[in-house]
Amino acid sequence: MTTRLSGFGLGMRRPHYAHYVAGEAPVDFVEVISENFMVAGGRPIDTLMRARAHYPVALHGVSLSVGSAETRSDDYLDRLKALVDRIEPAVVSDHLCWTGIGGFNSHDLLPVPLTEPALDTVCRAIDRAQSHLQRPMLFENPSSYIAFAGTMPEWEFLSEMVRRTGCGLLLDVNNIFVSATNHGLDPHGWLDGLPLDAVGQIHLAGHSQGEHGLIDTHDAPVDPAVWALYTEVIRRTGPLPTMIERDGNIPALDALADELMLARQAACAVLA
Amino acid sequence: MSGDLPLAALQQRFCDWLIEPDEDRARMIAAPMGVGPGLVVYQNNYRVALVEALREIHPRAAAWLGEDAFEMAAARHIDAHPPSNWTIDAYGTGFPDDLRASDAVAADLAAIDRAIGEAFVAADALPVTAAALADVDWDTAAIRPVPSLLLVPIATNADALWPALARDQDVPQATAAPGTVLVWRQGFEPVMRRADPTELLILERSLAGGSFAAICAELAAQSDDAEAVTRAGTVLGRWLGESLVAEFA
Repeated sequence: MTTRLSGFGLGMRRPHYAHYVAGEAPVDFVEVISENFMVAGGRPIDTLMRARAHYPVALHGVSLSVGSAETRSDDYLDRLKALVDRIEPAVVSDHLCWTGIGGFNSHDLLPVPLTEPALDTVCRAIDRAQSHLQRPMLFENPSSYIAFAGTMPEWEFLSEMVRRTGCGLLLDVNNIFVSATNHGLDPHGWLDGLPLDAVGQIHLAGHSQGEHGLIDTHDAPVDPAVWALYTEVIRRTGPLPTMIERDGNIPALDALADELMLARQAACAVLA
Repeated sequence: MSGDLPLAALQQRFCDWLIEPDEDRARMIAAPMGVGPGLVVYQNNYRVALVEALREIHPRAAAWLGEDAFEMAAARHIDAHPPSNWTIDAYGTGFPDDLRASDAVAADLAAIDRAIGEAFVAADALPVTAAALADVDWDTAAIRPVPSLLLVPIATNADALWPALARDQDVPQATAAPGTVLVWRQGFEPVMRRADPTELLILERSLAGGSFAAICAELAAQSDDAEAVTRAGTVLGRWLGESLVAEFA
């Protein structure tokens, strides 16, 4: 049976699988990368099923590519549907991005030009995916390192995307901070334009300073400025399921649990 | 203005630049789209992710080659073979072949690495046991191996080097040793070993749909050896003990 997502979670990563399988991780839910489990069989599926026995699961994809001018294959959607049917996740999400075209797949989250034609493309792809999965999805605001000329603000694009498709937002607070900083904008002002009532889940992560701006690297603790922005989000939205993503320099689970406690404390302080 | 360029054309230019990042291609994106220096972040993300995927999929080949040689080989492969599958785990199917011209051991190690990874996530199957033999119609029965089974042709003793590299032990001297390695999964654990000529023939015929009785007859005719059928039975017994048989069809 599908469970609602609530509380505070972590991205379930390989070094900590044993803790999740044993039900020893101090989290309210886990999130996994969907594609890692869209396989025929073997230990990955077994691991996820055993973790699922202890925690609600969020499936977070990286390959739906809703921003591509080229339609994603039925094979991909069929495999995702099979995983969804098997795991009965609380949430299924992906990104506002594209990954390739013309038979090429970059395996990176590439930037969508925020134009009306691109919005039409994205909405068609979201409608198709939600119809295939027979459930609404969440879509994550990306980190962006370039801004296309003559395009609408991201919050305007996301608002219209939500209005037209009925999808929700996976609000990545670090991505807002990274994108706003890279484009010389105020991250708190960025929040003003977003349809915050559509947010179904929150991501927190660390970033790093690159040669040309901030980069969403997920290899460091959450930055203090991102914690401040998260506090502001919760102040505006009320409690929302929140999790930390860590994909590089992964510390012991206890260290991540301590960091997650900061999210619990921030939310409690705001909502007290 | 990106709005002046159809989405598909814009995205094709972007992909062309990711695959071949020369300055002309960068200008083709930057001029009409007004993008800034952050464009290079996407180029870096693209290449780093693929190098790391090749390393993760081929860990023993990477260990054998060493850091610099592996990264050079990976860069050459990425330039020649842009990814196309939706899952990055499928990237680099031709990487072992790319390595063969310069380092046959690395190529064989990479082929074994890749097969181990594929077996790890292959479809599940409950292997048959010796107890099931009593119900088999041996006049027609054909052996169906477990779906995780892969046959990996090699030119060297990479099958002896692979475990040593995996356990960070002293690596044996590399030598030419043509043969075929069997890779499959027992429970959740991938396993491998070199096939002997008799079992390789039985396996190849079985995979082609041949009945066990017909294979035994072929072995007997080939060898003029009264022990050939006995050896076939021994092979089958070994396979049952190794969880290598999924069913008798």
